[in-house]
Amino acid sequence: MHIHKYEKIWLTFGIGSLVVFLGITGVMAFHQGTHPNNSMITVNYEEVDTIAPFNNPGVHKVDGKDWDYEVVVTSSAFFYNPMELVVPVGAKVKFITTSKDVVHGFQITGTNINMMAEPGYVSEYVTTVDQVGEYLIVCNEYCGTGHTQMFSMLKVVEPDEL
Amino acid sequence: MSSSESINGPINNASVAQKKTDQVKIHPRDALLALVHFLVAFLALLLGATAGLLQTLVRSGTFQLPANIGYYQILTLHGVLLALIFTTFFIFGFQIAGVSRTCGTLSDKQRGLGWAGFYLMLIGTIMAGAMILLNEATVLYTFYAPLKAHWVFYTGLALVVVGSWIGALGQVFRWIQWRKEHKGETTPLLSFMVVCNNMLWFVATLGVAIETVVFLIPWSLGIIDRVDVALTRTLFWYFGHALVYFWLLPAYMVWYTVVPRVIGGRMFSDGLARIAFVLFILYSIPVGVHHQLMEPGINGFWKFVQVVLTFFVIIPSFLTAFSLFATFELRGRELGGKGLLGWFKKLPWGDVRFFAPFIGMVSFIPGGIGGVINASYQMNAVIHNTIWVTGHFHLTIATTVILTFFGASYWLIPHLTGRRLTKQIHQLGIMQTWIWAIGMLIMSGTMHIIGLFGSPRRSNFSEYGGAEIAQTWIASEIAQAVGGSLLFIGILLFLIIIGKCFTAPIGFEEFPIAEVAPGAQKTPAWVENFKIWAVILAALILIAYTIPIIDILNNSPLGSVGYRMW
Amino acid sequence: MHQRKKGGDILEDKNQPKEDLKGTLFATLSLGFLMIISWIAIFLLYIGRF
Repeated sequence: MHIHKYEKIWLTFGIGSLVVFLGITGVMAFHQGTHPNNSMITVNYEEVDTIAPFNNPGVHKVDGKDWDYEVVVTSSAFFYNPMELVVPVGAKVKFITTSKDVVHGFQITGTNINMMAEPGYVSEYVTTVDQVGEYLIVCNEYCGTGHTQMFSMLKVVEPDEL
Repeated sequence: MSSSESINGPINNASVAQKKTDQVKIHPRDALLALVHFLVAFLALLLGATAGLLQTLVRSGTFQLPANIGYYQILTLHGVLLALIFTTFFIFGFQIAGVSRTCGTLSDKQRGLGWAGFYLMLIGTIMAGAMILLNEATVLYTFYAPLKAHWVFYTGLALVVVGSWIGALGQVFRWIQWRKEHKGETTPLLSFMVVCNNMLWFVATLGVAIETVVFLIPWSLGIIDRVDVALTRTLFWYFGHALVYFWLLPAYMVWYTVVPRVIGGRMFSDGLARIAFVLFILYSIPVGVHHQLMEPGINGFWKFVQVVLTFFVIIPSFLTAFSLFATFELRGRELGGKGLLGWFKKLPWGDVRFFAPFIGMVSFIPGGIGGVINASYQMNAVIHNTIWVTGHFHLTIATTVILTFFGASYWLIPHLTGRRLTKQIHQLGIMQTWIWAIGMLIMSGTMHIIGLFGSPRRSNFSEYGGAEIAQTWIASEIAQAVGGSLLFIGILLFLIIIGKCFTAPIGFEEFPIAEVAPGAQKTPAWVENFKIWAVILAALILIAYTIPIIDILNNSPLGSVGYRMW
Repeated sequence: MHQRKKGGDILEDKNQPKEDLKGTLFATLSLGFLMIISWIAIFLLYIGRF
């Protein structure tokens, strides 16, 4: 089928751009490790409060792992537990959450930490918190009438302010 | 020579002039079937748009709903009525008219299937709608488990889907009949596109049908206690992405087959138009996981595979952009347009049949670009579940598609009712298009920006405990209310214009169908071989979904009981 | 089978003067450019956040 020369130019340019986009995101995800929440860990959502790490929610310094801190949060209608998280700037942090009931969102606004919290599934995201500030955490998936009352706060502080 | 003959096969008379108007008129029985679909669609539009107005006023912080109406209840109404009911009914009305126009009048059996489908869809709509109004289904149009609605809600939606299968069959059978009666000839383009869209729809709705019939209905009836949340979500989004192409393709049908005729030009390439639609069949479905990029339980590699497949579906839109500009440029130059872009000014800006779809096309520029960004794997984290996403789909379905549908209504309703599109309708229609464009620019533009600041979607008014960032969000919600109010005015104006269409002077209004350029190449027969496409589609779905589904089934934690959180 | 050149014959005559679709090429490449700029903007936003 005959395709006009200009259409070939356009398609080459357009599809070429798409290939570049895929290349950049692919390399960053699989080589550099910046990828979304891809956790395959499951948990019994009805017994979450007795199962590690959710039996001890909060901010915990850890040793011998690829990250410095674990931030463990349980999501349920209509609150996060705990409601305030404080981590030192520059730390590599693993955020871990799950839902005790319906699907919730867990978005730390102003950051790339944005994951779904589903009952039965653990969500995880590792990043280095390199900017001091206060970041509102919101539930961004409809979970019921109290949906917009479901929020908490992440504070990234200088180490001496911990 | 009927207009359908000019689209199939080579045209031997090289100097054939395009007839001033094409006198083909849809048979009154087919017209009636199409019209009842439009009536339901317009009613759903009015109710759904009213819900939208209320939402935007509530979110601005200046308005409170009466005590017994919930925000999320009207949000559910808005989504279901507009994204599922208005769309499906309008699309089917248009497709029935299109098949009748280009293949010829439906047989009694084919029309009977259309009526059976219509009534089933209507009953299903009333069932689902009633449950929403009774506050038994405040689960939003995505009805994610383990939020659990009343079983009548899910059953109603299932009936809408099954009804659509029956109605679609009637349309497809007419195309098959044409093919049998014209062996070896290329089928009329508009009808071919309808078959493509119906094939896409059928394969896609299998996912949501399984989700509701196998899981959600038994669950909400109490026959099973638990459902796998990841599985039901995955089945939904297998359907959910293709759904948006089910909406987009009829708009593309208008752009490819109607608009060139409206501007007095010719179709740029029949073959490439068909190839674009085939690409949509193949790549609209095995991509649903790109709505689930931020979820647990799905392996990152397979998320990325579906991202790659998603990028494939951008290509037919690239093809379409070139075809449209080429159509405009060739016609504009024919009218004397000079220089690089002089042809642009020669287009019929006073003709609402061109202007409304054209603004729809313009809206697809930021709409489509936003879509590319949304699909870019980890970049999705920037905007996932923020109001940016709402801004995105108000550009695509709620501007590109809806303005094209509006623009088509202005000539189609008169055509079907034996009346004429008057000068006043042109003027009011153009005004409506401007009001819509400005309202949407304000509302969607604001949503895109504030979404980058984290403002969540699907959310009632809230001060979030006095957090500073929330104050910025609230200020933006006031702008969103201004835009949204303009849009509501636009809806009212549209319905007034439709009223004028129903009461316009008696006469003949053309159903414009473009001709290909004389001497154009015949489209190769393999393009119309749906068997090949079905096999390739099945293979792509298996590639994209086998491992993710197996992972979900193998990994399956304790399933979820239902929750009523409203 | 050559005909007198006119707009709309683009599929038939490969020797057609190319300016017939220059505006289309310009328009589509501009869209592509817009797409790239927008994508880069969000990409920069993404890598600028933790």
